[in-house]
Amino acid sequence: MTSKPTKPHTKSKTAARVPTTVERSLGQQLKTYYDGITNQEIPDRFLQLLQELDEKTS
Amino acid sequence: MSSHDFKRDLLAAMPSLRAFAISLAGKVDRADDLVQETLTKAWAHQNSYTPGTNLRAWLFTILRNEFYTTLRKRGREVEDADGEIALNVGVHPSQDGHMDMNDMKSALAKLPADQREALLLVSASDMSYEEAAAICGVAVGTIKSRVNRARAKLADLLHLTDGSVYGPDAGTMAALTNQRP
Repeated sequence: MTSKPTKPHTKSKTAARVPTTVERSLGQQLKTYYDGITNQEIPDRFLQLLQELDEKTS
Repeated sequence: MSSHDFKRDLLAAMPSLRAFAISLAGKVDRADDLVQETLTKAWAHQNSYTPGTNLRAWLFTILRNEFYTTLRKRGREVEDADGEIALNVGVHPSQDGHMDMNDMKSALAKLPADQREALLLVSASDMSYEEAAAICGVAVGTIKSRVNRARAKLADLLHLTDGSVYGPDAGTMAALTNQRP
């Protein structure tokens, strides 16, 4: 990696990118992690809350 | 948009809203309080939502504002002493043993909040850079930069290198690193 001295907050457009393979692998791992949460059932408290809000409105 | 439709759309957005909250706040109980606040606010302001626009982005914006407002109110006490958030997310380790969820959890917790949220929005929540920028109230370039920094730090924390991902061909990959797709 070439090391051009860049100051932290100058106009350097973006930080150095990680290699594409690493980026892809990270993305997959992040998705797997995320899916572990999104696949959980919605807690009852939120279903109840929406029900209450809906009843209050209508 | 009727309240009924709005409720249906809120329900549909809930899993991804909650995942964002949990990953952002670190603790499930705090995250769920955030989601509760967000839903209540969203409901109260449903007239300010334009049907047909990205409801998730709208909700994420509310949640994020709520998160930082709470953070400011509580001062810094919410951050653990060592600057890490104890991520007690109830996710199960993957079946194939390919990756340990706890590694990802603790690695995410080590990122600065601005980098964490940028990465979560773009890489996990399928938001575009533009949407993420709008949600965070910063320029698109800032989001890109934060995402890059977050990726670099995560890769480091998770010991991900070219070699570890696709076999020891570091030389070739190093040459590719500087190429833009």
